[in-house]
Amino acid sequence: MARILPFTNRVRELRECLGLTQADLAARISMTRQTVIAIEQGRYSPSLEAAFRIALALDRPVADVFVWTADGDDEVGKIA
Amino acid sequence: MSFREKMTWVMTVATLAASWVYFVPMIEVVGQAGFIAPASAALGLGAVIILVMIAVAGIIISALSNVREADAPLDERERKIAQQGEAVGAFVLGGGVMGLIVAAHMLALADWLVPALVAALVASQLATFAVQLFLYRRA
Repeated sequence: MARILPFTNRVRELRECLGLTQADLAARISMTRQTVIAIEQGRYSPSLEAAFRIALALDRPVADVFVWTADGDDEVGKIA
Repeated sequence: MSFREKMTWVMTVATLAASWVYFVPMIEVVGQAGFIAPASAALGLGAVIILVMIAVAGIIISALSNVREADAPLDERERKIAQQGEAVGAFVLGGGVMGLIVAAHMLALADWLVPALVAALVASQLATFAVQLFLYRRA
């Protein structure tokens, strides 16, 4: 769970744009504030369902919130 | 610190306290007179009472400071942390029991068998809590 994730996210940036606190977002997606913090810091990779919930709460498409950053040697990175 | 992490700390402290209540007198009893079932049962009961008292007090105090989180079910990250801790705890318990089965065939463990099994159970719980506390901080 502590590995470096192959994607980054804009959760913090988009959350702050909407004027939401971490606790507000946590309540909207039925998670704890600590889990929101872990996602924002890239320490925890949320499930697909959670990613959609976060995107919905931030009123953005999932692809705007989570961005693939793996290098070109990665097959999935090439496709993306 | 989340409510679940606080609870894990409370259960760690409660388990350590209960272990102290059971093992310190039990080691003396077994060392002097061998295994005495009523003594072990009485100490075990005392340990369980201490465990429950500390756990209940800890849950009440922690829940009062964060009622909403205390009422909420585990989220997906907390479930993963719980599962990983329990997997390690099960491994420790299984290893401890297997080790004792082998040791019982090779050594004269009769008087120490029950305390050793209790120790394996305590070790598995502490391993579970240690992994969970580590993951709460890192994951």
